[in-house]
Amino acid sequence: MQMRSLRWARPTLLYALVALFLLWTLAPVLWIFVMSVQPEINYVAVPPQLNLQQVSLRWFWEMLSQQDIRDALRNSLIISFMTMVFCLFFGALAAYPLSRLNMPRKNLFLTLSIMARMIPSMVLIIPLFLLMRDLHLLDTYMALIITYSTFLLPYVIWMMKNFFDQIPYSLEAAARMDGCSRLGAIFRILLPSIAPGVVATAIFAFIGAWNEFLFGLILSTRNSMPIMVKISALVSASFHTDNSLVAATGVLAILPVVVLVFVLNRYIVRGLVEGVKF
Amino acid sequence: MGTETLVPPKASRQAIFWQRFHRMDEAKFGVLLLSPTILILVIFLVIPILYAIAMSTQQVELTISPDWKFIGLANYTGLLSDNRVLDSIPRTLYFAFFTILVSTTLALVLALILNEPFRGRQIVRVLVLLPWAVAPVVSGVMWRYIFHPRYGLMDAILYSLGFIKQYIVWFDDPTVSLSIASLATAWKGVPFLTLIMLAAMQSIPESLFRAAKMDGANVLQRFRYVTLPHLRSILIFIIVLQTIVSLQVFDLIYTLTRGGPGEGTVVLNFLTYLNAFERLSLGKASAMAILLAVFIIVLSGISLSFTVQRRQKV
Repeated sequence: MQMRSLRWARPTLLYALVALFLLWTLAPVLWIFVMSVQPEINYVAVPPQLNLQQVSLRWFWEMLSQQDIRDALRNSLIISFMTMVFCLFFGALAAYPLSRLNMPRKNLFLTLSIMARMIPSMVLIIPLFLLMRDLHLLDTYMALIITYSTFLLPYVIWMMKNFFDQIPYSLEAAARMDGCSRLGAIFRILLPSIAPGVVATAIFAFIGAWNEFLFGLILSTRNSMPIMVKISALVSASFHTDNSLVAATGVLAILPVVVLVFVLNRYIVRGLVEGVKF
Repeated sequence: MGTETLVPPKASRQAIFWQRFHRMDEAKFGVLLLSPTILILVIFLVIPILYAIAMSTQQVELTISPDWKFIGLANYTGLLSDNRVLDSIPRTLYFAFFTILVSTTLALVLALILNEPFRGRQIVRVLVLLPWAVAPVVSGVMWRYIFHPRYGLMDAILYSLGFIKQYIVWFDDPTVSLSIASLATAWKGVPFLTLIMLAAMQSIPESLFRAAKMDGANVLQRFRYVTLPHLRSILIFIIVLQTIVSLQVFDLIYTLTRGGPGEGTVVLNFLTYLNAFERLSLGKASAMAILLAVFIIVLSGISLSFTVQRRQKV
């Protein structure tokens, strides 16, 4: 008797918990999405009167027709993409010797790079602001690309090192035997054979740069302002603006990374787990 | 055949360069590959850190004068009598504690669920990863809209279900505001913690569960005596990780409450920002940032030694 009732209760409990977790995970995202396709009057009503017939994308078009929003989105895309390329190139170059070669003080470098991951960005922001000012790089893409690469590189190196570690040494030896140069072996043999790892690392670097806020806030004023800084300015002024517009900008700001998560989910999961292995 | 016969008698400079490049020993080649990274990290990480340390021993009040004045450790000792700093510490601790509690508990439960086979598990695994990818700035906006006094989803649900007669103004109360900030931080942190926890759970040998089952252990006993002991070190790692993350919260507070009501959600890292970029007290802000960094590095050291132990055991 008891067994039978338990057999019925267990999946029910499981599905109830799954439903609760989905609600907790998705509610904030869905609510901002609903707000972005409904006129403000509908959700200001007590209780909200959501109307399917009034669903409209016009708040998206309105935001996208504004020059500063388009610029911010483009800035974020360029900066994140360049950061990703930068991180992959220098990360691969650095991860290879750390994984493969016999070097003195290799472990010292690895330990230091873990410590570098722990430095709060608040420590760096004042000196970096002064440094970028002296280099005349304030409000340029370069300032943000360099800054983001600097704090993402220690992660990227660890991830790539862990991926390199999984490739048998013989593969590389065979390539060298066939006349491949040392650099050629890295870029033509090793990197392609850890392709899923490279994809994971690339997504990680892209999302890291796309989502960053503090450095963008301090190191850019207009020309290189990323979308995250733009949206924080919109929120501050939201007493006067239509909240559907703020919500639409929020949706636009997370759209690229959400698409990445859904399309390249497998790679991300592997990459994240590799990233914390020391 | 000796190698010298391979070198043409009148090799061009370029050829000699490549010859040297290919014959370089391993260590030198490694240093060469690492050098761009080392250069970047030294210029944009190491030097700024040293600069920040130097600055923390100076009086730099840009609202008063652009000059620096050496004052030793006065910035650090001054923090002890600064009321804004003293007020922000209990807030920071409350925030960190609540965030760790919520995120670790939720991640543990979620990992246990996702470790069970059920229909639709694959799609659920993808969906619950979503908050990880959302920028803290945007998650601040989202949670603001959940608890907004005029168009908040929470008020709307409670009202529709008849629990309240009037919308509650959540952000009027500092403790409630801090708790909401904690929830939002936990919301973003849970997916990653779940992933690490799930990976640890899947490394527990299946035979242990079968043995426990044969000995007549029920679900709870199997969790208590098989799963939990295996998760101990990963739980410690996760708690330290979440402490580090929650001590550094900034972006989220910026869009969620901007430190309000009053200074009710001004946590330590946010106060550092205010001191640096609103009051322009760069010396004091540097001292605060350095103290936080030292604290975080010590914590990380502890967590790292746990991880290393875990590796050696395996």
